[in-house]
Amino acid sequence: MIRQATHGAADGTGDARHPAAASDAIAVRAIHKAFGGRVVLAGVDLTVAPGMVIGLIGPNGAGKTTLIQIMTGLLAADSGKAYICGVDVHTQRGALGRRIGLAPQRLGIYPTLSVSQNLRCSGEIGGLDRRRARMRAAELLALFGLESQARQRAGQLSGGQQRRLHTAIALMHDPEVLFLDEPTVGADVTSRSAILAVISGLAEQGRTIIYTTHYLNELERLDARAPCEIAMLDDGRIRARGSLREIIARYAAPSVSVTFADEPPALDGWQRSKRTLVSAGKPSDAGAALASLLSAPALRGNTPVDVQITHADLESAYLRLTGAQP
Amino acid sequence: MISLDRSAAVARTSFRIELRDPTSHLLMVAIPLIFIPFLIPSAGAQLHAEGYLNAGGAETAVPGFGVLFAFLTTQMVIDLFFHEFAWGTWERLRASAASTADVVVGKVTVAYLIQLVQLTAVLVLGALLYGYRPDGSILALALTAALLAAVLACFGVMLVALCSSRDLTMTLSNLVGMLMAGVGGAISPTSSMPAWARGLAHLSPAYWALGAVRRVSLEHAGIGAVLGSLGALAVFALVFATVAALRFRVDDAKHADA
Repeated sequence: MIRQATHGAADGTGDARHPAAASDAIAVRAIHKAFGGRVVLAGVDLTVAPGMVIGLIGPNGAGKTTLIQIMTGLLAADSGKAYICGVDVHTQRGALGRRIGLAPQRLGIYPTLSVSQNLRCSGEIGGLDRRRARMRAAELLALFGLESQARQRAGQLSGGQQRRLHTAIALMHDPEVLFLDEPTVGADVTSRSAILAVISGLAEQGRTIIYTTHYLNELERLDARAPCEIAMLDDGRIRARGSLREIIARYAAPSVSVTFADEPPALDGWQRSKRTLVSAGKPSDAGAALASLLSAPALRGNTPVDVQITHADLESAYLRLTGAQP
Repeated sequence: MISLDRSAAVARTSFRIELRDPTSHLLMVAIPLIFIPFLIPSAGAQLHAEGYLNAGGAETAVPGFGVLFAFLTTQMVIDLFFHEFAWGTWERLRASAASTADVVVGKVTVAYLIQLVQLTAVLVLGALLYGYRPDGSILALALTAALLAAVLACFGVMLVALCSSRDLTMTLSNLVGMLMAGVGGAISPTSSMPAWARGLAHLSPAYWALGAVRRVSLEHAGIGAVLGSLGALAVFALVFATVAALRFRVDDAKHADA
């Protein structure tokens, strides 16, 4: 975990920072939020060190987007505090805006402006002068593979290209903390890959990134380039937090399931359900468990007709955490 | 605290969006210019009856239709905001370094210029095409146009602040706008209206704007002669701006069924 101390009340931009939270990129404390009578966040605490990539996962309605909206100052919490780089998200919105980049879940581009204009306008509003905005737009067009579409109207791009532009806009003013709320949703394979490549590069460079997604393998791909932490949000609370490897080791349940032509006998270490045997517990080596089962004398002459191996991955951990898998 | 740089950046963005698709703006200039020649004869007859024997009709038809369509141009002011909701860019603006004040000032600047350019274009082209020649102070005419543009820009922003959906905002804009323009004398002079309508006309900014324009166009009026009308327009602008400032909530969810 990388921690860069940025103590002090000022950072040279005239923004007062909360001293207790200044060393963290994100410090969220006891955030509560309800809409009507429905509690969406029930006391969320989240601390993120600078340079960390956090995969914020959870089922639909878990409160991920609400939490991001609170952390980016778009929504006020009912109670609790949130600081980004020591800046209070509720009372210092201008200072917050300079530090964060946001790609909201909903696509946000100007369809009648060109791709290049979308980037430049966002950069200028973010505080870049026109020359720097033009240069930065050129960099991002190249990074996201949109150079040949630079003069095209954004509304005429494919869905995946629009997603790339949407993500690029969040990077225009080179923010310290990046919030990406399902940035690849609806994107084709090429665009997903392009977006992930850029995000991986930023993670490698030590950018603080909050990344929500339902495509859990994206977090595994990010983790391959830069260590990624997982925060699992469910029922308005952080249910699990740790490095991707820790989460998999703690919660993932690899399993082997074999269906035979005839009903097999009961065997130690295996649960029987009609003609199917499913490994009990967490076999450390699914292949070895399968080989051991198939060589069992009690199963001699009973032909296996279907074999399923569930690997110990983030999806498996997620399913156990959400109770969808025993 | 307002940042001029960021307000200017918001304004530039809105300008670029408007310039990319100027058709509606051109129509708000072209349509009144198409209508005006049909109304000039009756406007001339009305003026003759009132004793303006040298008037041709363009003196009231050109500013009247200019003002009528200026009220309709408020739709474009409304869309300056609702396009942001429809395109999902409002959330981005709110999360940017630009404050609410920066965003509103940037947008209102563009709204004001849209209104001013439309009104000025109709008056100038009306002069070129139909011989509209005000015989009073051009500066007084320009001040009247500038203040009416401010009134209408503030009116549009006020409606955005008060309404939760684009449909409702547009409906109110058209209904209230047409009513104010009509009652204010944009279609026919207030002198030809029933007494109760003439009393009601004072509540319309169109009445004060057209009253000032009429004096400048027909009665050799200078700034001093239209100060009362200019003051009334300033009050309208102030009231609309105050309501907009008090009711504008950046966090309000708006339905941009555009």
